[in-house]
Amino acid sequence: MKSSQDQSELLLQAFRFAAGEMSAVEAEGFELRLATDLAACEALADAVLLMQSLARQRGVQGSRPSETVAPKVAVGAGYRPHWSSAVRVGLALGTLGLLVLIAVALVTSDRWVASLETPKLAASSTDDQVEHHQYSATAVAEQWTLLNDLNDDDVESYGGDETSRLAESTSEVDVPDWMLAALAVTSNQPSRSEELSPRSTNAAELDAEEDL
Amino acid sequence: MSDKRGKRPSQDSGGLSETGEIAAGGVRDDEVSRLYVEYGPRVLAFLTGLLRNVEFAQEACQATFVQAMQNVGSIAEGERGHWLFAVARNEANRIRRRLGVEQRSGERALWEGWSSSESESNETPEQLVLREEEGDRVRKALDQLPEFQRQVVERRVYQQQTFAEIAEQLEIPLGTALTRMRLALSKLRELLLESDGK
Repeated sequence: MKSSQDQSELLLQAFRFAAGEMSAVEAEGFELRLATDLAACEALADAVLLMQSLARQRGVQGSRPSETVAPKVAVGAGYRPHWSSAVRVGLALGTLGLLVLIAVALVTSDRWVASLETPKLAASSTDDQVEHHQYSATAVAEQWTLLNDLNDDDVESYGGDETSRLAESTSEVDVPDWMLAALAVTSNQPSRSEELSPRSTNAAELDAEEDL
Repeated sequence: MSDKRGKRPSQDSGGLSETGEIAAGGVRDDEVSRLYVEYGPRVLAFLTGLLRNVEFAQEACQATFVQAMQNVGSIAEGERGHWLFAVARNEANRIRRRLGVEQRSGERALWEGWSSSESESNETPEQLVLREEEGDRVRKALDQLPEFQRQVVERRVYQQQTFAEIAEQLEIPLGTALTRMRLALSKLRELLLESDGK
């Protein structure tokens, strides 16, 4: 009967043999022993069964060995941080949102510049149109004022026929009320043409004298 | 001694799915069954250690028990264990000669074959439960080991470090690492294998 230490030593040898960690000489010697020593055969069977149990336990609860191996893997060259999917989705959404904001800002800025420029153009054209209409109305009023100020001599100087035709045409013209109102307004306010025309200045002075 | 260990329950079929197959020679079925239940798993483990290949071990195991069925009547009751291991060793050598020495594959393939998820995927629910129970027993047995012994076992088995590497990393003599492993294996055998026969 072998002692407990002999049995454990034999088990270790069997383990090393099964694990392939014996030298060629040691392995050959152990195999020769297997041919004659039943205890060695039993030890080899025990060693393999233990290895199987330990290996299967690794399959059932693989966390234990991986906990030990993990640091070696983690410091390797191929190490990458394990970000959670939520963080990754959040980063993707954030990036997408930022891109959308930039795109919206670009589009909006173009429209804003256009909106700043277009009313300016429209306003300037409107001012020109208003000024043009005012100038046209002033010119018509001047013509009417000049016509009223004409003397008979002046009328005759134009020729009787022409004067009569003018008078006929004048009498035939139905002058609208708005034109008369405009005439009244323009006669009270010095127009641009009056400021520039000496004749208009004289007419205004005459009007002032009549008022006195 | 061999009788006690032979009563350990089977963890693998050993390549003999039907005892009736090897009983074709006219030997009584109950005697064949008893012989296989007593020695089958251990003979298969012995052959796996020799051949380092589970499939070749199963082939050799089946051939061993075919011979056993043909000769069981002429073998004394107390000599059957010794006789089976001798026949198994001859069958292993026969396979080695047939396949060549290069078939003595490395240890890594042996470990991978045992912990393969491919074989686990074919497990029945009952087998899965048994494997989980075995895993619990192994874990508890490992927890009973002193820390310095469990450290060596885990490095050797799970990280597949050699004893020389373990000794270097733990900064201990190689003999100390081997001693720790020896004590750990002895304790694990007591907790895992011999307790099965009780």
